[in-house]
Amino acid sequence: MLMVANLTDEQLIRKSLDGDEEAFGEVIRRWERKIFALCYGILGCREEALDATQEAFMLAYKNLSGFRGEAKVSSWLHRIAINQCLTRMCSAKSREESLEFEEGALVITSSSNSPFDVVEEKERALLIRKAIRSLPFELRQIVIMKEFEDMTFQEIAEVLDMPVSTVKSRLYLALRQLKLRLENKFSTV
Amino acid sequence: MKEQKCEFSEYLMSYLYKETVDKTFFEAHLASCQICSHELEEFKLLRSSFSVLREQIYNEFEPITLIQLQRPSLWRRLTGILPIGFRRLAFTCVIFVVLLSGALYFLVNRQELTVSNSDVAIVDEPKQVEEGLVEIEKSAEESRKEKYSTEQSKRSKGKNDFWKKKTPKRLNLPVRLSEQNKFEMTDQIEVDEGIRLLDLFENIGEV
Repeated sequence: MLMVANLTDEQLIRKSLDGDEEAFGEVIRRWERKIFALCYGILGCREEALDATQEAFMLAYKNLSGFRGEAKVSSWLHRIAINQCLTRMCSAKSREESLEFEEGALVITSSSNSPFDVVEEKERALLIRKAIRSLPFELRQIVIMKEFEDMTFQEIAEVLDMPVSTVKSRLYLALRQLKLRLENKFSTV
Repeated sequence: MKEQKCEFSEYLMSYLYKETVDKTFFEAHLASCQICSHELEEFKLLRSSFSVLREQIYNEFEPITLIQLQRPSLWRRLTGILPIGFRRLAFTCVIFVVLLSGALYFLVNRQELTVSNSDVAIVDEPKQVEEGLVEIEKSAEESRKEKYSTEQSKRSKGKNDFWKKKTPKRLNLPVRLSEQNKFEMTDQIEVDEGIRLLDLFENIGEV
């Protein structure tokens, strides 16, 4: 167990290719939270995000031989997860369903005990989620990777296969759009 | 209102996320650019509100169990293709088919039993029983006769063999007989090799 924890992602993938399930388990443990955050941010629905995360890891496990080692394991997993989210969004569109945010599921652990503050934070979080959801997919995925996963510009560029400057300019655009949307909404709240 | 955009927006992003290459250069720019300094403050505020959402997302996370990654069995792979509702339907169909085949098998067997019973009932008629008995007797007698004849033939065969051993060899003797004592003799005279030849010679001597 300790041995597996000390290995790099690439080494773990190589071990998984040799049939070591525990090695791939370690890969999951390392990346499942971040992949879930990405899926949750894109899809906006917890259950859908959990399903997409599981499906992404299943696909990665099935296509381990397809990993050539040219990109990082994290980038590869992120790409699979993004594709999985896109597939789910397309299928939801084809079924004429909308993957709306679960407003009722919002549970905010506030530092202040005041009920007024809790309600305010809850409303604020809901508005942010809706604002992120309203962004175009190209901008949304960058915001999520940067804000919820703490990925560097270089890592995002690797995942999306685009120049770093494009990632920066897209993030700038996304933040400006979010600011505008939230300004209007916060003024009405 | 259309917001203005500074050409250093990419630098602003790097500075905001602390990935800047030249910090002093951009700080100098911030001091002179109102657009960038204003946007930097607004973006910092926006980012602080993201932290609440980020915390909430990670709280809702549920770890993936490794069992799901294990290779499914053949049955699971086969049934996994079908949706859950359909799987239930298929299962009930299988049970129904098994029960139906069992019932059919039982019914067919029962029919065979009734047929054999009717056969017995026909045989119960007195005339046919008598005929049947006569036939049985005849066949028994025939078989007995056959057995007897085969035994007889075997015995006779054994007898012949015994006599064959005892019969003397046939000798072709050219016998010249005078006209006075002529008696008819066949060309072939069956004589006992040991005894009868002597008798014959005695007879010849007397002659």
